Amino acid sequence: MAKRKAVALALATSSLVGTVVFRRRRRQQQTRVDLYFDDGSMLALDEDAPDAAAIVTAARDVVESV
Amino acid sequence: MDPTEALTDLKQISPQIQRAVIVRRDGVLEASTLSDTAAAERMARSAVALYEAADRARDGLGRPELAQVEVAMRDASVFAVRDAQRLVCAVTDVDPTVGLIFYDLKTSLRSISEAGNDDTYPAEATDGEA
Repeated sequence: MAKRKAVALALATSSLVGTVVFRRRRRQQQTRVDLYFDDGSMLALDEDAPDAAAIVTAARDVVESV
Repeated sequence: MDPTEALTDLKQISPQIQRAVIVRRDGVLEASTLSDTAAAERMARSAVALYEAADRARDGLGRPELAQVEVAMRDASVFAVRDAQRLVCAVTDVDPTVGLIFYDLKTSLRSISEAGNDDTYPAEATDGEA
């Protein structure tokens, strides 16, 4: 019984770790825009969002300015 | 602290920052970590364009006043923070410590403002980076 619990716990833990690692890597590979406002709120825009295009273009220009 | 000193401090306390510029609200470059003045001017213009594009998006979305922006890309992240007088923009490594970078950028702006440097704008490089 104890062995089954240990196996179940190990599976659950590895699944959770795998999910976190996968999401983190996926997030790193995506371009995204985070806008922070005066009231403390924040809005994340994906690269494909219409409002993000001009911002991403300007950010790319910043990186490539040297 | 003047803008050049502020960027020197910023580079020392934030190793994740590769390069940075400080630009006045009227678009004049005040200081940069780049020794290449032309590159610093290009970065300053792009930084202003970035913040303006973000502000247009904010306006279109009906959101409150913009405080700061991060654009995370595959090879780098770009940060921009503005106060009443100037804009500071920095390029960092991939996956930086976002909260820390914003804190350091805001501290730089505050240190300049508190020193009463709102009317000076010498555009000088702070190190030998090209």
